[in-house]
Amino acid sequence: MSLACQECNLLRQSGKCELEAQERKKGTLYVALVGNPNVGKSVIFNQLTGAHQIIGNWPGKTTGVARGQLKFEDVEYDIADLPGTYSISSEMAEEREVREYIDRARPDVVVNIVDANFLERNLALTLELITMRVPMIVAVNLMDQAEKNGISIDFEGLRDLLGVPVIPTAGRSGRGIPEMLREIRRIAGKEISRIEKPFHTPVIAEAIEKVRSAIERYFPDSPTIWLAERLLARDEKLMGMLEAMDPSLSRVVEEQRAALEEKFGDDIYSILASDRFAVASSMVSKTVTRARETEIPIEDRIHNLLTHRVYGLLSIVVIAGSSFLGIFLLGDFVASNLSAWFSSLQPGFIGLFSDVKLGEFLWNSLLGGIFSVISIALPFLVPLFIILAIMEDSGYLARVAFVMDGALHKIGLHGKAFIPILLGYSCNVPACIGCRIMETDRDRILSIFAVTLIPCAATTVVILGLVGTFVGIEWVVALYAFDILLLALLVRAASKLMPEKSTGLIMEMPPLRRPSLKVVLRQSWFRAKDFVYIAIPLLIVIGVILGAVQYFDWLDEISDAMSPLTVGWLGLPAFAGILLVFGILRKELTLVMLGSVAGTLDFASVMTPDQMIVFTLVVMLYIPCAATIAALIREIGVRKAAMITALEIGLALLAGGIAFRLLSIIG
Amino acid sequence: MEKEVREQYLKTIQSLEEPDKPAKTKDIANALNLAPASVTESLQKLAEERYIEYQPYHGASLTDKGRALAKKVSRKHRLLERFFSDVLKIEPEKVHKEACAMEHSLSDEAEVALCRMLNHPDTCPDDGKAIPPCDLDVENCLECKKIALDERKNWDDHSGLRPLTQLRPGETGKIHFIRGGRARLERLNNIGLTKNAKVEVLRSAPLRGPIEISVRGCKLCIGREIASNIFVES
Repeated sequence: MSLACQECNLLRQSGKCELEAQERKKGTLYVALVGNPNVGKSVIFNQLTGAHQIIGNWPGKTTGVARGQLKFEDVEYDIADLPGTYSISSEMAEEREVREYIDRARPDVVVNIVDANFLERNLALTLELITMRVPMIVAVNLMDQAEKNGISIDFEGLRDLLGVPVIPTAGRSGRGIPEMLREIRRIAGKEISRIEKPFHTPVIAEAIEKVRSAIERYFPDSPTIWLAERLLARDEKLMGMLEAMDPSLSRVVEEQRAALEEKFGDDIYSILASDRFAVASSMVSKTVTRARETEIPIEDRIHNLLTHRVYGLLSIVVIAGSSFLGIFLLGDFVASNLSAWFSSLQPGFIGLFSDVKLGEFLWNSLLGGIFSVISIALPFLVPLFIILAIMEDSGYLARVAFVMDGALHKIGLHGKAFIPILLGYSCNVPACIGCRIMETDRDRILSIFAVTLIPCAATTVVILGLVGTFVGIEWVVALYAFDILLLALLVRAASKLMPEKSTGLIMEMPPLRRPSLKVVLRQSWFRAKDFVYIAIPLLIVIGVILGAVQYFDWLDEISDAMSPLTVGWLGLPAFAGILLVFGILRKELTLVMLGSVAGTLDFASVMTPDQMIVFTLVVMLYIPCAATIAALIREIGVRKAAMITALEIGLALLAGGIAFRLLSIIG
Repeated sequence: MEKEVREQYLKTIQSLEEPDKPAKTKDIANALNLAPASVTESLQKLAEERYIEYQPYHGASLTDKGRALAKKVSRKHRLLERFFSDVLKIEPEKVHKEACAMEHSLSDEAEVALCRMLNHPDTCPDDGKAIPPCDLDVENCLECKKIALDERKNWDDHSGLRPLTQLRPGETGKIHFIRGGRARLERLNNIGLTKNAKVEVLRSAPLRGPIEISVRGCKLCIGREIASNIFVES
């Protein structure tokens, strides 16, 4: 009986354990990959599951567990890639998730992936995992990098110290993977670490042993050292159970804990963590040798430049600016050519139908959505995804987060949020998804809100095409500046409304490295696929609705119905109403359709400069586009998505109305 | 020189000076709203009393003696702010002024009692700045909780103790204690920032951003507010 099921019994919680119900195929070996963040778990996962990869979410969990299958030497393996974690003792979401997964889903083998370059910190988790008493393998990964750094490891020695198989691997090249799979098969479901004493220094080990022997008979078949350590560390749920079972037992635990806290003058959690690191550190000194570094490697020089107080900021401006420009120029070139080509197909398609109106309806509703994704969105998105993946894989984004942290603190966020906010200028959809890098829900929701206020590439088309062409470039700059100011104010205000404070930045600085082409392409491909899957169905649905509106000639009715708002409040021509409705689908449609609705391409003859500024301001702010709303719903739920949408519509109308009145006073 | 005036000066210099950059006389005069001439005079007096080092035209910087006193005063100030806002529920805008008036007369004994009563707060209410650690000879706040007031231990100054934010790039220190709630403590412990871990400060980011440190062979970025609650011994 696992610990979790004992919890259920003891706490008299009804119902069966949901995880026990996980279907198990006979003969398949269930493997869980566990390790610190950024040790190459997912690279190994992708290497293992390869083309057969099915990425699915494990039910009901926050961060999610990716699953995949493979067959190797006639044995089926089911691999679960668990979220990266530094420890499994605390109540933080990912730590609890990993702990409960191991305890409840009971994988046949846990593969603990450690980074050969930072063995000391990685081993602290290994020591915790071993005490959980599951069959386990330690894969010492990133060996290629470690060898380059002059690190050599005595694997035999490490195996003797840990009592579990230790295998050197290099995920990127696939080195060590077959050996790892054979070792998994060999020990699956049976071989547990030979070492059955706590991984602690004598004084603490003694306290753990005292607790362990006291609780032993109450927890048969359970990893009692692990339980004893958790009880000492003040695990409230376990302490509650113990208190209910036998109050004298919890007194034993409390006595031992008080004695340790007294002796070391520290909180028990810190004492245990610190001691685990001490044990890990002594293991490292016995098994790892490091060649003396002779010169500063090129990576360190680049790192120094990118994080420098002045050059760091400058390099962000240069890199972000040139990426943005590159994406914009390339995307624009491809998009205009593709759009032209798709439009050239239109007459032929409509010609297929005897009823011209029906042909137009089908073209606009069904094909229009698909074509717009292919011709307008993807040309900007694919290069963006590639650049993003390069930044991620090289470790550059972490440097940006470091340099920008101070500025973002002023609006209640921290450094990592800069990454999605920057992406927002290209397209809000991937930027919203990118907000997943934030640690807490609070920071994630706040950065998503910030992202939806960024004018995306499509909005840029309207700003440049209308205000830039017909009013003047200084008004374009003014609009962008106003937007940034508004964003800072709103996000700051929203952050004050959020109950908690930002967690603050605690981030590992990953080593800089040359990005791998394979990883970059793979990452970009998955992101693009993800986008297409959300966007196309949605655009088809909206396309059908808007097509119907056109088909039944309701355009004027809608414009008239909206005229109190558009004409009365915003001072715009009546046809602006229908443009704003279509703009929900895609913001640049407001400009594209202006020509056909107004009946001329000389927009200056149908709108005054003031009207153009007000109109563009409203378009810039008024609603996240349909695809963004879909992404919002997916990321933060219907309620919050609706709140953000409603807020931004209100904001746009308010700003537009005020701008109209101010502009007419200035004349 | 009167106690209150002296403490006010030291506090001001502390807030203005930076590592290797003394506080300028002009800035001190501005902050205290006094004429530069009278400030110069007072600074000379403080230098005589060895609270500061003062060089005309260059500025004033605190000596260890001056720093200890300034730290004590700002600690009392921030504890009082907490007391006014948390216990007496005085509006946040007013607590600063109240605390300024009382910080100079609060006894050391009352300071310790206040810290215990407030359950060892780590930041002050109006600007979120860290409250400097107390100078009792205790390992951390937890231990302080256990020591009864009457059996006062020796009151030696932990002068070697500094928050991580005050280390210059290249300096190293050993973590003495980390202040904050359990969740933060766990997060920091888990990535290897535990008591006695050796930390090297590598650099700090612009705009009062995070600092980069090296601990247990890996590089970490720690937000400034968190780093100011990690105290190290050099």
